[in-house]
Amino acid sequence: MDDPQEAQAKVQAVKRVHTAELMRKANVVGVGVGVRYRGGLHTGEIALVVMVSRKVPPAQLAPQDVIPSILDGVPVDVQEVGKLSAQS
Amino acid sequence: MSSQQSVIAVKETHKEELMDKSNVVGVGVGYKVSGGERTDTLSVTVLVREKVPASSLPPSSRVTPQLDGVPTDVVEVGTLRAFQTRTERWRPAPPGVSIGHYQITAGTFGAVVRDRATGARLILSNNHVLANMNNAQVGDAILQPGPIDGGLSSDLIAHLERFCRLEFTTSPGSCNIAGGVAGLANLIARWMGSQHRLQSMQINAQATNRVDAAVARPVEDGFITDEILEIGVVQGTRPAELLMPVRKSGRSTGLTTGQITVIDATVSVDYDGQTAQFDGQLVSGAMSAPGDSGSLLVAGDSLQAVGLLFAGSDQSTIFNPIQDVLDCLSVTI
Repeated sequence: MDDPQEAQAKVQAVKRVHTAELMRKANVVGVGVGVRYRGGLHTGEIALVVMVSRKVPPAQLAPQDVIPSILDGVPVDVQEVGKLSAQS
Repeated sequence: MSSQQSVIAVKETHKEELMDKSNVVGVGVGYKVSGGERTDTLSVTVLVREKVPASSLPPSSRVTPQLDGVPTDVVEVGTLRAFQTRTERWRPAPPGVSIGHYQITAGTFGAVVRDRATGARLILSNNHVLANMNNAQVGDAILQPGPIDGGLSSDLIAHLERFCRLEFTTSPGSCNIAGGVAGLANLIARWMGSQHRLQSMQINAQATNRVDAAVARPVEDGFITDEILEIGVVQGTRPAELLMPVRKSGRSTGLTTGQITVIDATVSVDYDGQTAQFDGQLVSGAMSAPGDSGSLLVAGDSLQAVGLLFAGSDQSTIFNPIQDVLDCLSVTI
């Protein structure tokens, strides 16, 4: 993608539009602007990060719960983070 | 050259008189260090809090270069104290140790902040650590260490000063009784002329938060110190950026480091069965465990504050951006 600042702004704009709909999908616990990971290493590419409690193959999900790999031209990276809890 | 045994004998003879000198915190036997290098000469080693030129000391406080023919070596070690763990009682207490409202388990004392109006030094941590998830009253007892670490009323360190309210999207137990209670309360509220009305509602999907934050006022100003364990004194703030290296010092996992992997995050967080949604959050890889809530997130290469740790999982840790925390609480760092 283009310059990182520009890429970040673009992802931020797409995030604003799609957060509510993404947060309603099964297993989704968060949506943010982040870096794409491949095999445990970040690629440097800025992506819309969708945090899920656990990763499930798309075939096992209801169609409305599948997370697209590109949204409005922006790459989407699904990252498994478990269940997020207050830490006291 | 003297044998080890004879040096020990000399040390024993003079131990008491050496310990009586100002600044001396210990006496032992060791190889003399000269110009930063260890020599093979045995000496009576005198441990001092601080090295001071002999000329500025009264004769009675000076350590002579030799004792009964054995050389002495003065070594600066600072103030010695028993090694303390983060879950023990500390006075003064530094940020990084266990703390908590008297009805919770325990979290972390994050940092010392200052009230924007009065300049008073306050303890920064999370709402769910100092204000029991909105269920506390201003003035409630804050214990150090927190209750799960054995904190009792005698370990009172501060009183709850103020907190940013948490808004939950789902709460357990809305039922007929709750509805009835709310109805009655509203009747009374109307009768009292109050504009506030209670609603017996289970879902409030619009509720979002920016921070999980609270401050407590120490019983005595001297009960707290500014220096975060294993980090130091914070100097200002800095907004988070993607891939910024960061560190924190917390009750459960101590000093840990990581990297910001997601910014501007909307996350859904579990609070003992209730859910709260947050916007504008920072995410890193795993760098915490339960009990670390309230830890200050600091940049990896400077002493600038970046965030306030409040949630996480085995894979990730979540932080409020520090500026939102300071603004909501009306404090500075």
